[in-house]
Amino acid sequence: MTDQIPHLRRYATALVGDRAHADDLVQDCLERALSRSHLWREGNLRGWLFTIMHNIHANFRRRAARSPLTSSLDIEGLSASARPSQEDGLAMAGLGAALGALPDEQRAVILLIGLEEFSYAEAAAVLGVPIGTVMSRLHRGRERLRQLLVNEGGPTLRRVK
Amino acid sequence: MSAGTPIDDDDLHALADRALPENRAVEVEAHVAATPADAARVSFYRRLNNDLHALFDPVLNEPVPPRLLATPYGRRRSWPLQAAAAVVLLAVGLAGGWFFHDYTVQQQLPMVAFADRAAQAHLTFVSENVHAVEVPAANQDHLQKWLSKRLHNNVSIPDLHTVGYEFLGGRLLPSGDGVAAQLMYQNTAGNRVTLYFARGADSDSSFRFVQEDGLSIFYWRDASFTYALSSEVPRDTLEEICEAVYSQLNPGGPAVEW
Repeated sequence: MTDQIPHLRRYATALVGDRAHADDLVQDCLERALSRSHLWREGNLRGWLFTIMHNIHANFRRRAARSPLTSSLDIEGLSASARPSQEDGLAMAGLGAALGALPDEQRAVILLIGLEEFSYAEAAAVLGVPIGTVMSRLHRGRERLRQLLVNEGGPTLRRVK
Repeated sequence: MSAGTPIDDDDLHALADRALPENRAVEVEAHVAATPADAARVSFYRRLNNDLHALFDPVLNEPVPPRLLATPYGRRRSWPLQAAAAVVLLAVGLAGGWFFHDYTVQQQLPMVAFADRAAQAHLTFVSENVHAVEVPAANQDHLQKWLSKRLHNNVSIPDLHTVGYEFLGGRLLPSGDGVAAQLMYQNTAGNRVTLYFARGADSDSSFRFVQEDGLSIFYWRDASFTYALSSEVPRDTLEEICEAVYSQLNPGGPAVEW
């Protein structure tokens, strides 16, 4: 399970944006996984851990009853040396901010598939929704990011404030 | 999916995510090549995936915060290493399809108890000056024979000069149902490392690491003993020492895989 902690941290960081909150989420996930380890059956340990983490996150969001994250992702919290330059690919600060502007459910799907490289079926299992729902969230989320990050009518990238 | 099926949004995402069967991918590629608007979309989806990795993969290389290695069972902190090791050992248990029931941590996890005992032995004796060891290095042959006899297996005492540590001596300790040995080493800066070992423990042989409150421990087993190497030095340093210990205990054995 410790092998999975870096992956859980990467996903949590991208999902909630705030480093400390991300580690809280991972910690809660590990605690719950240990206390419920009797429920685990042979198979996909990674999927099971991500499912637990998603459930904790969803409960937290419901309790907090907040709208999608308003603060941009804590990109500065990422190690500066490893941070790509702003000119690489999509403007990185822009990508973080744009992700933060998405509804949670769309961001989760985009990250599970694009970052954690779960299959569509695995992502559906983690989120507890049908594959069709995964596909529609993926589509709406990615198209929204495209709107935010790509200038209309051209490939030039612009920085999202 | 048969040839000629209309191409929809799902196909474009699946192409970018490399989730299409090969024959379908060829069809969708052909469609995209002839449809600039869809080509731009697929290109964006691919770039997005790449950039998500570029932005967040650095997290994978960060050290895991100790609090995440010390979480289980209601944040019980009476002996943090035990909790830390429980997380580590859960991986072993789960990987082996070994299901947990309502046992205590100690009963479930022999290796956890082992790392716990090694940590306690380390903390107990490493701070001693006059009584750090029971049998000093000057009597190494005697120590080696004595420990071999009491542990019912041939004990060898690694030489750690190559990594800058001098052998101070060792002692015999009670450990669970049996006995354990502790060997102590020290470098010129005064840092101490202990190697604690006892007969078997039915767990896998790969290296495990726990760290809490500044104490780092690698533990593993071979055919003869289960070992724990403990020190307050940083993990990288302990890794080097661990490799030196392992290569001497297992001459010609496989290299350490971290």
